[in-house]
Amino acid sequence: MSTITLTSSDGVDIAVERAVAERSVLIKNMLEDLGDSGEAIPIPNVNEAVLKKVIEWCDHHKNDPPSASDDDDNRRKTTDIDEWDQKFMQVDQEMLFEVILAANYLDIKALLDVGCKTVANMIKGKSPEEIRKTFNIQNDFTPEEEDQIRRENEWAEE
Amino acid sequence: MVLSLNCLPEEILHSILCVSHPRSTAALEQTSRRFKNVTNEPLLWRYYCKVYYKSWDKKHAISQKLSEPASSTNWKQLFISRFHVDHSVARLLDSILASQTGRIEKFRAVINFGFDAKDTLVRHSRVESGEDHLARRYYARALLTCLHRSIAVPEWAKLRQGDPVPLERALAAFDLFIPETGFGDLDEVRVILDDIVSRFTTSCPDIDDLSPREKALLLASWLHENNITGMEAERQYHSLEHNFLGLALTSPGHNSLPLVSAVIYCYAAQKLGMDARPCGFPFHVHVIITPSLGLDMNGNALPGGEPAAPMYLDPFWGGQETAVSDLRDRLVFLGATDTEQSDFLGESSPSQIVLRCSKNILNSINSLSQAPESHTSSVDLVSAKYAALWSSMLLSGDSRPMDLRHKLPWLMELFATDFPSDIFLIEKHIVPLFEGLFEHEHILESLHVMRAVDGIPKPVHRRSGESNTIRYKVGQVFQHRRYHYRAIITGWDSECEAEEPWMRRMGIDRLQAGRHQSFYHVLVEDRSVRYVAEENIDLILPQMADLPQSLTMIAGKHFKRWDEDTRSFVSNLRDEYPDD
Amino acid sequence: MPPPVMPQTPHKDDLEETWSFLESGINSVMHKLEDGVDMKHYMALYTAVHNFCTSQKAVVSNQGLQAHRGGSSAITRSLLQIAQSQEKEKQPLTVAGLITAHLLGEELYKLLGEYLSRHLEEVQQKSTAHTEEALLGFYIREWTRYTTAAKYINHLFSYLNRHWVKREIDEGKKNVYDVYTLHLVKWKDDFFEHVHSKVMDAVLSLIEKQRNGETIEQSQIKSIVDSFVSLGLDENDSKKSTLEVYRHYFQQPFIDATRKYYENESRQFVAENSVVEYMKKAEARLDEEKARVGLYLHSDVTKSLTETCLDVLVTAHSNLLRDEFQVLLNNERQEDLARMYGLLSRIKEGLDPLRGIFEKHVKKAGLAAVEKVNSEGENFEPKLYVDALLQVHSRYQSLVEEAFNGESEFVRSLDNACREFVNRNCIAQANNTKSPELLAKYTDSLLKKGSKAAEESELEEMLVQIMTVFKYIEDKDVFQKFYSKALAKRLVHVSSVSDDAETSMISKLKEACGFEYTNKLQRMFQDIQISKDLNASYKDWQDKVLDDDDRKRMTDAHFHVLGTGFWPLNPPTTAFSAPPEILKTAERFQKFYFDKHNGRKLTWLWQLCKGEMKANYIKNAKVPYTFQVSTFQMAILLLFNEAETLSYTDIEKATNLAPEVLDPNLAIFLKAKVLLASPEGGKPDPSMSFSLNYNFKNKKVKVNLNIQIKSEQKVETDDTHKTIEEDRKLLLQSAIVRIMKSRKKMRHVQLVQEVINQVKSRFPPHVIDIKKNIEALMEKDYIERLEGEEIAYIA
Repeated sequence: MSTITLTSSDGVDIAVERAVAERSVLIKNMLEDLGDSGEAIPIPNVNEAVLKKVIEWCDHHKNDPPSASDDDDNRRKTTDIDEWDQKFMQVDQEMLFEVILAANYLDIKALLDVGCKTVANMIKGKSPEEIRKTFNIQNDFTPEEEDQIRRENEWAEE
Repeated sequence: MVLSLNCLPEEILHSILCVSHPRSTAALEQTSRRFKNVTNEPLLWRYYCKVYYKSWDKKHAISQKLSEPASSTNWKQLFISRFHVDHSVARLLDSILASQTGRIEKFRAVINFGFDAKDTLVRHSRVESGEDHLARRYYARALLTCLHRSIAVPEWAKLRQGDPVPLERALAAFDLFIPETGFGDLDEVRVILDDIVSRFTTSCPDIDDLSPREKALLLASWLHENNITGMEAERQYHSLEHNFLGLALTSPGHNSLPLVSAVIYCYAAQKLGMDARPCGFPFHVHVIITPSLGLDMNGNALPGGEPAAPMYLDPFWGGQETAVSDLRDRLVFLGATDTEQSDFLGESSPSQIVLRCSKNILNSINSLSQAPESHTSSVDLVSAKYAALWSSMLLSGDSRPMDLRHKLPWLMELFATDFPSDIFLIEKHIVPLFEGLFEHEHILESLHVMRAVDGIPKPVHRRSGESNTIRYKVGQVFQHRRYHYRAIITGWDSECEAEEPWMRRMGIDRLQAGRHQSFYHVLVEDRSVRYVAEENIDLILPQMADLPQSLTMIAGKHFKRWDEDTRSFVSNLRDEYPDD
Repeated sequence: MPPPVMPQTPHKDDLEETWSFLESGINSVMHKLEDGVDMKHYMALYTAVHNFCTSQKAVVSNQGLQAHRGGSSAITRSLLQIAQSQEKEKQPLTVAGLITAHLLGEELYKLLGEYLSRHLEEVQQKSTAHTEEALLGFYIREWTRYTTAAKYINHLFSYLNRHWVKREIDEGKKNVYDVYTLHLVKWKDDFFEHVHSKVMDAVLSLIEKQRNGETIEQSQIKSIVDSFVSLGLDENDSKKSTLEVYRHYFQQPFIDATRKYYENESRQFVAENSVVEYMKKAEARLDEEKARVGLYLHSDVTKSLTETCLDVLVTAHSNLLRDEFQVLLNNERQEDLARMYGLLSRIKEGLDPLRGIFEKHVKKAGLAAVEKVNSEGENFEPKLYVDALLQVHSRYQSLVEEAFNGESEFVRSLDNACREFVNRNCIAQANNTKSPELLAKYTDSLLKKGSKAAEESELEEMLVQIMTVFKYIEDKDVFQKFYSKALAKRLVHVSSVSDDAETSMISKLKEACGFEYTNKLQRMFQDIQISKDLNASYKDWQDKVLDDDDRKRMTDAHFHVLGTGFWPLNPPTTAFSAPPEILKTAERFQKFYFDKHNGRKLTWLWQLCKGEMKANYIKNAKVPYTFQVSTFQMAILLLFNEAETLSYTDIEKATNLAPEVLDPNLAIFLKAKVLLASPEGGKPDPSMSFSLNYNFKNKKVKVNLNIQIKSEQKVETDDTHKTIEEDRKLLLQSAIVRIMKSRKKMRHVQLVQEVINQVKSRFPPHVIDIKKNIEALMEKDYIERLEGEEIAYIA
């Protein structure tokens, strides 16, 4: 079991099993291209807290089969998230978005997916105003625009 | 800066929206300009269209749209319009379930949505629970099959008018009558056939180097070796499912009658540039292959452009050429005259093949009625028979009104009891066939009655006064004391209200309590409807699982669901029997 | 080496800074990959791309762009153009007047493309310094460098691939590729297009060198092939590849060059060498080219390369080759014939003209062999004839096997030729039933006791050979006739060499012609078997019935009972009064037989009976002579027990024999000096009288007097021919009746055709004979003529 070291953006070295780190396609490609020189791998975009969180997820999922094809429509509307992942995602919004960004940066598709589904579940069933509140979104429409957009979206109301 | 949804790049927002419900997307759109931008991406709405709706009416030309750049279609608008259809169909279905009155027009309205209604109906036909799930499933399914028939019947009508219809379409129309095949579209059969052809061309890449004869034989033996044509040894030849092209293509054994095998062969051969057509040889459809003009089957040029002899083969048995002399010998043996011979050895038109298929189906049904225990197939007998009757009505020549007359009562009976939603198909396609014949008035009259009955509320039967003596309730299940069949009560009269001749014929007065006892309308496990005296009813309190499938399948016609506490069905006939 | 420092990543929303950072990274991947790339740089480059694409710098709008306008670099200018052109496209499709969302990355993609173009332009500049092999080396070096770099860059830009490129492709944009594919596309457009013909010139001249026998660096060509194949991209789906580029730029010129090369070579070679030498050359070249595919070409070329080579090397010279065929046949050059077959069999219809020549040649050889037999006089042994036929057949059969791969069409030609010369040659020409007759006689000579082929296995082999000739015989019925006659004799005279050999031959005939053909032969065989049992039970019967006295005077006899319908035997042509000794024996057997089989009729075939007599009367003989005689001869000699001298008329009266039989038998006695004539000399006639020769002398104790008379032999042969005609008539008529009975009605022509089909396995019927027999049957009211050439069966 080979171990490699990742260096977070705030300069902390974290040792991690290579198979776990390779859930990240970025790291996997790089190791493939450059070989494992034993040096620490700098992860310039992810800080220690987030990187540890991500590694926790990768470690839990290290034996998952590789995800099926990219454009699978069947992945579709299901917002089901498995129990462990749900619990894993019970974090504040800040961390949630950090994890999503990190997954996207490190190219960990399944983690990105879980993150997106978590956000989708937070939007589900909410009115526009409730969404604004949840995510702290600034309403920058004029009242006329707002009225028009509301009318355009009447179809989606019960 | 605190990280927020707003900070995520477009591509991540897109991923979030892909796993969100379009309604959420609509709500998000209203929050701010940025989200309005993000949520109006054509690719997103194309994705929703693909994922939420599988079936599209022809008018959308959906596969064409999908192959074009995403921005050339207003996918959002398209999605919204499908969303509206979805809701309308669901509301219509609710309304059909809610009242026995005015159903015909509601059926009609659903069918008018065409294939856009299909996704909704499929969804409702699969509900497993809910207050009225039996009824919902029943009517969703009835509408779904009606939708399929409304696609199938016009194909035969086109043939009748002499318009060209490809053979495989004309034959696949039979499959649309059989919900179990899972076919919903005539094009699906073609997709499967095309796939077979491309498998053939990949496994035999050098076919273009072969002479026409070698090519024809190679194809036949390939199809046979890959079990696509012919029948496995242990199969019952006349088994019902062997008549259906779609079933033959999709079922694991690919078993088919010679007619179906021949049609499969002809399709593939034509795709490969051969002139192959089914031949109307008696008892066993063969295939004729005619060489291209000026060539013979061996690919040699012919002097003077004289037409070359065609070749015959029998894809049901595989890659052997059938010598025309053998065929002639068999015809001579059968006592065919010379003109008959050239008829039997000539090609059959799609109409003839459809007619023949319809006869084969009726034959299969007949042979099943002689040995009912052998009916193991998944094909619903009633639906198959209905398909055979429709096709033979539409394609029997006008010159033989006897044929039409003969089959009309069967068709009308099936239609009235099992497929009443087809009334507009009957009006459009069957009524004109009888123009000028005395049946015309009859049909119009009975259709008129159907519509009239549908249009007025049912008479209300209350339990009060003399009705108080009626012992059993709508929805209860019983076994007949004498005939032992199981049935569900669907209505009652306080005494026998049948007509005098019927009572005499049935010997009602010989019953212990005679005609002056309660009588019940019942739905029997064999799908028939009967009228039973109270003294013959032996109430049973079964488990749902003990009831035959045939009974639970049709129970939805009158009942909402099974009630485990009372061990009876919950009535959906409250407008008629409010107290039951 | 100092430890690498984490490079400072550029500001994410500054395109110029980002790009110059990326460019220097790409440059070192492209040019200094061998120095290695360290992780920090790798990550920094990936991160720069990521950061740029995720920077929320702008939903691309005019305002966003304005922010960039500060610099007037080429980059920003080109960006402005992109943005403007995009806006034009997007404008009509915006919803509610807003520009739709947009992913970032197009700028990077475009700049990368431009970078690659610049790089490739340089490469192309440098390439002009090289030609021939040096150019190939250059191309391969650059290609390897470029594609290796492409793999890295593709990974470094993978964020771009995952989002911006994917989105463009999903939206249906053409000409947007993932970064690796972009490299290939650029290579093809910006470099390959300029150099492919020079590269191919070099490749082709290298191949030509190899064809001329020089050693070359094959792996170079292999690399070029791989590169060309990699450049084949599917326009509609960048994930798939096609062979189009390879086919068009490599395969086509290669095939053209091949054609030209071999056209020249073969033209020249043929002019200077023999055809046989040319065939060797062509064979070697074909093998060589086949091997070439495996060595360094793409297997896709196999078909067209083979076709081209065959076309140039074989088809173009096929007439020349074929002209040599007769010469090779005449000189029996089997190896060269095989070579020619090998070449011509690979082109379309290459062999067809040879088959006719071969057939003619074999026929000629067969006829010549028969001619030779014929020239040795009329009375040749049948063996000589059959051997001559067989020798020709086996010679050419082995040629077909060895040189022509046993190909069925040549087998057919051989069969045709053999059938011709077996049935129609200078011996069989007068009477084409001569071949079956001679074959039957030869068979008889093998199966008769005293044949030279003593070894059983040898005999079996010869029977197999007989069947070879038999297969070609058209008049199989003639063979059957002669064969059954001879068999009858062998059986009656117990002169078969062995039962096993007889059975073996019959089963061979049965296999060839079916049960009906050998039915009678088998029955004959059975009769002999049954007769053996019969004689045994006769002996038992005699032991029971006869008293000692009878037994003492009894003649020891053996009987054959032969079924009339199966045996080709006729009753005696002469009257005959058997001597009392014989008569008694015959009557006793008859009594026994009729007891067993009531109601049967026995006809004594005296002419076939024979016996032995002891001549006790001869003086000077220590052991009495034994005469082997026919029954007729026995009857004559027995008369001399009663008288010393008898006149011709006495003998004639006592034996009742007709003069045609009596005279030759007396002549045999006279010739053997068993009897003495008076007057001496001359042929027997009624004026003569005969007496026993008491001084008879012979070297052997057993003297065979039962010699077949010459005239009998001739008559027998003629008779056989006559019965054949008769049998054929019957066969034809029964065929006609059988056909008509099943078909009821038929056109005349069809009937004739059908009859020919049915009887041709026995003999080739003449249409005129069939017609005659149809007429005959009409007369007998079996069938009738209807209108319009139709014939009907009368039930």
